[in-house]
Amino acid sequence: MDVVEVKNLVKRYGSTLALDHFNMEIKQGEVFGLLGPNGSGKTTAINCILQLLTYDKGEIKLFGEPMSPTRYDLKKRIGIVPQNVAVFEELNVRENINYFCGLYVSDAKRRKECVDDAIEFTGLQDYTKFRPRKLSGGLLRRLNIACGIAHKPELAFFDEPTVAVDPQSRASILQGILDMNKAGTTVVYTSHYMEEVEEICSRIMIMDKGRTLAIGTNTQLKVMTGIGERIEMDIVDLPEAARAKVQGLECVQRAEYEGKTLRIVCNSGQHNVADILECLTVFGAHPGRIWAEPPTLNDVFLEITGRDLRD
Amino acid sequence: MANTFKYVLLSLLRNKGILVWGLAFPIVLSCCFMMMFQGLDDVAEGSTIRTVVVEDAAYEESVALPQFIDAISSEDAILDVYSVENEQQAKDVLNDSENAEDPYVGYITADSAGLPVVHLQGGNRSNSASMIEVYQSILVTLMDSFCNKNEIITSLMKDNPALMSDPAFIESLIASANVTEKIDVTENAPRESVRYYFALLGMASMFGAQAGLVAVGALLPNTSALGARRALGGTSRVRSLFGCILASWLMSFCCLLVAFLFMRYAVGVDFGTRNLSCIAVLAASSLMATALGSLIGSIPKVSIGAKSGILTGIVCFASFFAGLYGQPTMQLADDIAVAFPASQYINPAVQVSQAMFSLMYYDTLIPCMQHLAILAIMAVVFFLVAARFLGRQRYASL
Repeated sequence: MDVVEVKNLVKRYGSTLALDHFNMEIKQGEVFGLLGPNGSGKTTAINCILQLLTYDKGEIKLFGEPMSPTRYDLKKRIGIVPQNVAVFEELNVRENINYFCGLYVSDAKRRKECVDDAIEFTGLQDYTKFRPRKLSGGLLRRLNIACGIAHKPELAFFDEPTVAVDPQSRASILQGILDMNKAGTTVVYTSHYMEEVEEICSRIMIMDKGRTLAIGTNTQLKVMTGIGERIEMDIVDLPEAARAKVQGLECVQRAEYEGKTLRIVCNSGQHNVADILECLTVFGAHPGRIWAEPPTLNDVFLEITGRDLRD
Repeated sequence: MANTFKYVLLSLLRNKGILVWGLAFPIVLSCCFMMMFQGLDDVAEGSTIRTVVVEDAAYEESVALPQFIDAISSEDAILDVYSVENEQQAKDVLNDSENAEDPYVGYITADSAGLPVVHLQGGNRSNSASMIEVYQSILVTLMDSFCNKNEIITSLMKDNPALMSDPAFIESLIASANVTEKIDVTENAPRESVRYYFALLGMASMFGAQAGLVAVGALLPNTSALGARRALGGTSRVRSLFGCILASWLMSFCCLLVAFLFMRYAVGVDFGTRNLSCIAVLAASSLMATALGSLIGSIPKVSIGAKSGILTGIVCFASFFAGLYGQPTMQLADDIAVAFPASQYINPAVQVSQAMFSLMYYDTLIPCMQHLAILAIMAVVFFLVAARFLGRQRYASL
């Protein structure tokens, strides 16, 4: 069953088209990564799905049922961890989690259990009496997450939850999301950190200018772009003719020489390094060091969305 | 709703801005008023009329005037008498005291018939002019009363001297002196300073709107991240709103109640004897303030800081017409009220202070009920307008 189903969603901000016939299906049990440059429409899409924003056209279904602003029965099954920390400054950690949990769970006994679990889940046991202003950036993010997932939702949206978080906290948050997913929660995860998405997401959508550009698993996306291997070689005084010769090889997509480094993007192949070395030997160029690595999601992202700077 | 009520109330209780404006402000200001107006009521209530009496030959020969003056300046003194020997001395005393804080209001001489003649202090006095005029009026009335009775008795004695030997007639003459009964025309004795405290309560109740502003403002998705997050929760908007409004009302009511109790018992302000009715006025004032705060808090796409600024402006403006800022503005407020009576009906601060006035001074509760009704109508109107803004579930942009 599709937990989230979005069809032909159109959203305009005045003359700006924020979502252009946007489509998305998320299956139950997935960790779905939503990637896109700044202003690509990720947060707008989430806010439309959650009925916080009006939209001009389209159909949104959650758990197989049409979503509307007053479908509190559906909203109770959803958890949201927003991009900006959204908690009461005057309430302490436990009170904040209790308040947000209370928006979904009315039974006091069950709510207490949920709050205790959320505190343990986010490792905030030592900070339950702290007010938000006393918490570090990482702890604040963890509080934000605890408030969003305390009621044990079936579907959780994480909108860039690890911004300004140290590596330890980030690792803890990511592991927590995976644990939630194992416990049965479907996760929608947006981030600018490609390695995070690569690490936890079972399926990834790349969007830009309000449209879906690519969707698939990590491997499928890499295959889609055709990048097989990324090779770097340290070479002193490489003649331009040698670079052009390498560029002309059948397995090479792109070869750039800058400083003392030759950067080559190759297609998939078994003998890419050997073919390039053979070509360079003809020109008497002998690399000092050689690195070869498979493409990253970052390469895929830049390949699909382009390298132009965004707002 | 109970969950929202509990935690919104807790957050309001810990909000320093609300505690400062809703609670500390009226308490501090009432302390200032206490120091400023310490002697005001005593002056208005307990002062005797300072009068110079010329005790010349005509005065001494008068049959009853010296005894009359002695009577009204000794026990339960009405007059504070300064005796001089001639009229020139009396004029000098008046001139010397003309610019004093508590001047002599005039001097009394006896004419050839032994009847009193009152000479009043003249000149332009801006400050306590109204009190001097009141004292002069009392002095003239006293002396006129003496002259009238003197004339009646003299006339009777001339026409029928035998009557004076009749004890029953003498009794009736004494009784006729009591035909004027001293009564209080108000439920409680008027006190000069209470107007400032009532105006302060009006202002404090309006500042209580801060609680509604903060609570409702934090519900709006397009004002803060917290508002957006709360709008996505599984509790209906109406329940959340009711929880917020109830918490805001309780918060502002408690602040106002503490301020009222402080004024009444620590400062010693006379609010009359209708304590429960006073509390009802406070409850209605808090409701109006919560509605006003909800209205301002629900204005879309304006920051909480800017909304607080709008509220402060409205409160200061409204309090101006309630006469909080001293005698000149009080006079101006009174003049405006006379020229444009409708301005009083749309001013919440005036309605709160007038409700307190009516409790203190009127025999019946009807005038107070009228003010409470106006406050309730204001609350309904404010809530209805706020509901127009708050009714939106989705937004074109955040």
